[in-house]
Amino acid sequence: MHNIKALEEDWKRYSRKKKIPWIILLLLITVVLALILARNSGMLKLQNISMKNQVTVTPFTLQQSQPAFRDKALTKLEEQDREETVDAPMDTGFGESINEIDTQEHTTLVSSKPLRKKLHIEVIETASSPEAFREIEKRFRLGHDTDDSLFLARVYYSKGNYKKAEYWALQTNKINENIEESWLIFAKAKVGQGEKNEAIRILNRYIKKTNSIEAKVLLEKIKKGMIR
Amino acid sequence: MKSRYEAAKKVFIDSVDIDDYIELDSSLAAYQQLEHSIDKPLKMILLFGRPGTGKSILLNRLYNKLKHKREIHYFDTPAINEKEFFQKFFKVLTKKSLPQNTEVNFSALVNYCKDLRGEREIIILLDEAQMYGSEMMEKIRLISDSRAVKFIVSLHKTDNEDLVAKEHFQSRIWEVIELQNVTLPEQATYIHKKLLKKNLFETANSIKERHMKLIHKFTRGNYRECNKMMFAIFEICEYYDRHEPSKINYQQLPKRIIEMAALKLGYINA
Repeated sequence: MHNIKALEEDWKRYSRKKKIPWIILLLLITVVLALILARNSGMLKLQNISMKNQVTVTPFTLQQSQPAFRDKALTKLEEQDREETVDAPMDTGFGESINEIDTQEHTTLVSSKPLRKKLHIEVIETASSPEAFREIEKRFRLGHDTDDSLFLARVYYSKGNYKKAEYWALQTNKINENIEESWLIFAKAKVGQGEKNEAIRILNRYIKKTNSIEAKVLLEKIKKGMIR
Repeated sequence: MKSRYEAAKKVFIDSVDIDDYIELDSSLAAYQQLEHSIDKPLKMILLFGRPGTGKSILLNRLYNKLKHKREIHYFDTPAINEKEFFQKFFKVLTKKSLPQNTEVNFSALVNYCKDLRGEREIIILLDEAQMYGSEMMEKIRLISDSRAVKFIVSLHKTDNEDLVAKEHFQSRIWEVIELQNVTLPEQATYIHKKLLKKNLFETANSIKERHMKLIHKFTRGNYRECNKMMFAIFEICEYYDRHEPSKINYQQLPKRIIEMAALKLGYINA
């Protein structure tokens, strides 16, 4: 046998070639594992983002995005007489006026944002069936939680159901008149129902009371016809 | 200096020598079936199988076992033409050679065979029958119809030859014995017995079960391929034993050498 060296070389090549599928398999496993890990961490990130998004849609967005204004508003509101309400009667469409809002059980701005609510909002937002809304309404009637009523106001407004949006904004105001978003939704719902002047009047009152920038911006938009 | 692997290598030189015959369960079963078939009033028996499944050695064994008991003749190499075949056949029948420049009259030959019926029972072992043409096979069949001559025809099983077998034998052969490649345990027994027959105990012991598996994988249990493979393995071992003894483990055959032999024989590619 004279060609043994050539055969040895062939065998070395064969041996290397034989390892290739295993190397590929190993690489594939690594890639798959890496993808799974990346996906999992991505899901965690998404969850975080989702949580943040919930925070931004709560009535406290303004407080987070504009802390200076929030502090100012807080101070001002706390200094004001709690008995003082928006003195102009407001047509709610339900035979009630803002003046009649019972303020006895009002909670403070700080205490009215329990963190656990963020989670249930997420669940509710995904289940947007009428049944789910009824469930929240039921829960609101039991717990009088402004997160529930504000959520309903927000959702109905986004669905174009202005009458219901107005109703739920009013329910929110009844419990806590210092929730700015409910005032803004209330005004926008009025515009949506063709009561632009009423909306302007309400906003003017609110601005006078709180000097809210958000309310001012909304007022301008309504005046310019940017909100319909 | 003589290498210990030289003798081992020679064990696996492919041959149909009866001394090299290794009795395995499957070959014993085939042999018994063949022997039993001969006793039946059959005209033709077909021994069928892929090349290297042990057809020739089985015929050879049958011939050697029965040659003193019965009128049996072994045509191990096929005749190159019809004339040569009938010359051989004439000699079997008459025990005389055909005079030069004469040819066998086929009709007369068939009649002669018919006359022998009841007096003699001649068995012709016809190896490598796929080499015969269809016309020739028809004539063999006509001779077998005389019932004085019984043919045991060994035929390679390939796709084309399957067709030949179908066309020419299906309706006429009364018994088909098919030989197949052996299983892993049988091949392992075959290799061990071959080596032990030549007192190569240590060499036989150096081939472990995993080596047998690999050898069986490459050779698929075919005797001829197995012989080739084992020859190549021991040839490589012999080289290392003579020139680079550090590269060889005498206690157990290196897997590398089996793969090198497989590369050499083209079972695998680099």
